[in-house]
Amino acid sequence: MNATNSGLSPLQSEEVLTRQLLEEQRLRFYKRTGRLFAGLMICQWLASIFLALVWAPLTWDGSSSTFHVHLLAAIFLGGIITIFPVYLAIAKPGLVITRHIIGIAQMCMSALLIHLSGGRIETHFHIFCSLALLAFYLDWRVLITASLVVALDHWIRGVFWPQSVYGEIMVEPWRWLEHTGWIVFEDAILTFSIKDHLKSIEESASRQASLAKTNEQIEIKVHERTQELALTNEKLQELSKELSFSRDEAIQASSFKSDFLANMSHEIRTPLNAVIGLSDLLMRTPLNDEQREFSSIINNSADLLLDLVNDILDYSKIEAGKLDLELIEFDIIELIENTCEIVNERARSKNLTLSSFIDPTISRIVKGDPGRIRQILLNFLSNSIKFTQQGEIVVKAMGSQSEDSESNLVEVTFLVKDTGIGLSEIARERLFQPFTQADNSVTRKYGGTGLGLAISDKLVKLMGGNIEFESVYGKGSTFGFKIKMEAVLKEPGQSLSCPINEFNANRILLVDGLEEIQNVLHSYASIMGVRASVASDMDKALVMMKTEAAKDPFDIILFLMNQGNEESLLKFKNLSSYPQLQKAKLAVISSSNEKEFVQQIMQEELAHFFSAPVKKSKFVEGLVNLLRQKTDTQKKVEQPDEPDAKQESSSLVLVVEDNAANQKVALLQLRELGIPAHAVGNGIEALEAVTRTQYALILMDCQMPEMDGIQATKEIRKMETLTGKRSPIVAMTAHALASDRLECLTAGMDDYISKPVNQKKLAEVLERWMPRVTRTGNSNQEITGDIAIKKRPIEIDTLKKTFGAKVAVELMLEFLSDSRRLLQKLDNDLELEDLTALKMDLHELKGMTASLYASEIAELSRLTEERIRQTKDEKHDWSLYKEAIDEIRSAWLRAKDYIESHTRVL
Amino acid sequence: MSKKSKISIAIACLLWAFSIGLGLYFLMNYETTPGKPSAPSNKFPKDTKLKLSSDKDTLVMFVHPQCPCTKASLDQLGPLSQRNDLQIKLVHFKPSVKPDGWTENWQFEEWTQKPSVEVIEDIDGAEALRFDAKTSGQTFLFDSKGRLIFSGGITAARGVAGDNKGFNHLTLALARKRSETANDSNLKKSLVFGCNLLNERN
Repeated sequence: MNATNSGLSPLQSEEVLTRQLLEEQRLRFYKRTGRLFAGLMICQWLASIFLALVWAPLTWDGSSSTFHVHLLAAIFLGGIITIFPVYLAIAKPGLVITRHIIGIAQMCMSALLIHLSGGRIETHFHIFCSLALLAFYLDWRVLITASLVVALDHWIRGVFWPQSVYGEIMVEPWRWLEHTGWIVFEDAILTFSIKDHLKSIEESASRQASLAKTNEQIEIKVHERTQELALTNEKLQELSKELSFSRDEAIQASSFKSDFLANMSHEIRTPLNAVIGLSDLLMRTPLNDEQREFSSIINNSADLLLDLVNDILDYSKIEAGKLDLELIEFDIIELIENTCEIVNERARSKNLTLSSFIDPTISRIVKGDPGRIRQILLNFLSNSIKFTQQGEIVVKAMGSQSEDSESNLVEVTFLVKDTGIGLSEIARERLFQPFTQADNSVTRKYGGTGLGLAISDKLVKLMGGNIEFESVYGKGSTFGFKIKMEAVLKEPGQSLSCPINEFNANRILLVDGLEEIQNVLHSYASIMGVRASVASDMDKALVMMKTEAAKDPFDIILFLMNQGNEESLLKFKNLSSYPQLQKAKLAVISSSNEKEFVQQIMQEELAHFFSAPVKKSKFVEGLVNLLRQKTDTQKKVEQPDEPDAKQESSSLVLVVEDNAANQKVALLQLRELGIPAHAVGNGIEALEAVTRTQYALILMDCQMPEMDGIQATKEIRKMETLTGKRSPIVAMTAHALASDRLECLTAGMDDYISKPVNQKKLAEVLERWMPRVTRTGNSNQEITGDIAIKKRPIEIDTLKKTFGAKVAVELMLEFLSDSRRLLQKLDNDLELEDLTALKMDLHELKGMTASLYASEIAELSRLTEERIRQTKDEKHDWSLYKEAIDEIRSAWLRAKDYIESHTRVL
Repeated sequence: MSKKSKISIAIACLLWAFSIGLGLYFLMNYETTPGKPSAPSNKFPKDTKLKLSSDKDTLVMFVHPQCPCTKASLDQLGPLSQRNDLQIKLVHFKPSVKPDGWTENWQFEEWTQKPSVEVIEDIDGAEALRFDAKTSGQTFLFDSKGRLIFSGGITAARGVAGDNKGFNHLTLALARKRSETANDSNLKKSLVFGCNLLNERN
């Protein structure tokens, strides 16, 4: 039973609840026992009538009879005794009076039965049984009442008719007390039993109360928890909505950020393109020192700004998870050596020795993202150069085969080791945090954004590796990372053009130089089978030659020149005077800038000059040549890597670029490279130009008004299916995402060049797509617009030369204003068909344009004027004149564009 | 429960108790009310058909075969039937108008088996009139000389067996010398509890 079912208030205490439960239990006992006695009494009544009928139905008077008084008593007196308590048991169950009346009635019924049975002593047991039954009430008071009735009956009978009770005539006066004592004895036993039973019931009630209370508390707690849960659910739902909303906002913000970054990148790169390109071009023009310095600062600052933009864009892309790694085949050796070449100039400018070493056992061609690996290495190298004041820097690529011998995976460790300032403990902890450098003084002293290593760290992680570093403060650092790549060619990287045992008998002595480059060259020589020895300085070299040369002469003595050991070069030259070394070839490794100096010192004694940083292939090739003695000394001097003489191409390049400044830069860069070019401002114009002319190459901007580069490329490719001719199209855009590149290639473009486009990048693209075109270093060939291939709209250069740049600009602006006015007048003349005015205005236009070297307009004006003069009055065709004026207007518009673009550039 | 209800119940309780007390009183009164007194002769009647024993005391008990009280009288008489010095005559009333089976009683059948007992049918109470026996259960004890020694009932009340004065007197009469008991008038005054043997008109 629970509290609810029992009608209990949930706030009742456990004690009250126990009492209430006990009362309810008792009431149930009272009612149940009441019903029991009601039934019993009716049965007793009927039984008494039955007994009376059996034992004494009639009383006789001789031969006649009447009903016996016992029968009447059984019916009527028994009825009186029975009916009233039965009524109470049914109508007033559980009342105190009901219980006591039933107790009294039961005793009375015992008395009646005793009478009816003729006072049989056995019938007295009915009293004891009745008392036991009354104990069912669990109310000892009922027993007392019943017992009192018995005691009273015994007392009265004992006084007036003892024989009816005791079976004897003569009884003692206290005899009723004896009988009563037995009754009390039974009462005592029954009372004890009742108490015991009540105690059990009380305990049960207490347990029930406790259980009900516990249930109640549980229900309250459940209710509370349910409410809390509901509340929590509501909060969660709200939170979920907020989160969903925040997520949508975040996604949208991320999308906006990405778009913003891409657009910003584009927008920043576009003017940067102009700044870098033009400052680059500017430095190629005759400048005084101050102007050159300023130009250099502009160029360097623009480069730095570009690096910063690239870094931020990279970091944002990585953070947004939008950075897609490429998986293309590349040559590790080429990657490392080219990377070194990029920073070599910077290293050389600080007199640092830069070398590279590629593990000869490494698979040369692997699959990965060379651009990103180069970016990481460049970052390491850049830092090394930045923080190294003297000594050397070495880049190494060490390989190891994957544990799974059947897989093509190789594990390549890239290391950049320097002899720089090293890292302090604090700097190590902050190393990979974005926008953080070792300390603020580093930023002040060395510059940089603090993004480089953070980006590199994330890139390496994307490749499945981790950046690791070792550093000794004040002595140098080594940064490296290990990544797994698929080996395309399993053969190791040493591709020697000689049998491996060919040079086993040859010796080489490496003289002077720094430790790392000595190790690198020693390794390369060993790969060839050449026995290499190292002398850390010239004195030791001399000792070695004196002691060893006689027995085992050196074939090549290689001097490793670096900052500080230039003076040793003379000593090195004099080695040739040693008789033991007369057969040895002398060679020098130094930066290409030092080549002239080295040649001057060494003169005829120089057998070979190796440019630093030495490339493995070049080094091996040089050694092989020296050892085979196939070439004479002069011819063996390595030619520096200079652009080949290029054959001039008659092919045209089309520049499709909407931005006038960038259009101008591209045209100027092409002019510098000796490439003739046309320029148009959008895709539609490009289509028109392609229809008229077959171009050797089209440089296509992607984002343009009216028709963008992607659409234009698609249209051009469609047109080409009809003509059967095909021009390579190279995207030239400031969009820097890989997805942009993919979009360009999908549209039908052949290559991609990101802005800002410098001369070198442009030259590389031209070399790739126009290999047979000859380019001169600084061609004076005309750069022409689409219309003015043969003739410019206006001769600005002549104008500048004649009047000076400032006046020339003023004149051109005046020209635009006056010519516009004259064109309006010509329109008016045509409308009025005023021939005289038309001739006069044409004449005025011809004169003004001719004086300002706007020869096209001047020529068209002249021709129109002559046609008018030569036509008779009656044969004037105004429509023809209108066409002529329209042609003049077109020429004027071109001149206007030309002037505006030039004045903007100027 | 309202006060009115309480009062009603209290009144009902009192009435109920009074009714029971009154009923019991009447019942007790009925049970302890003896039959009509009789005046028997001090000698064994001469005109009776019953025979007086010459060597034993003769006990004559008159009973009504249908009276419920007869059982208590016979229960009291039972122990005396074992005595050798006593001749018992159990005379039961038989109206001539009643059929033969009217007097059939399993106790009589039992009593007929006893050697010292003679069960005698008294048609229309002729013998009862001779002995002046008016109530069922009235008992007479005569010595061998025909002297009345005891007269009266031997039960405590109507239908109530057990210790009682009449039976005690009878026992005393049997134990004492005949010369002492014959003249003791107390032994001839015991109350008789039972039905009337003869009709009132008789």
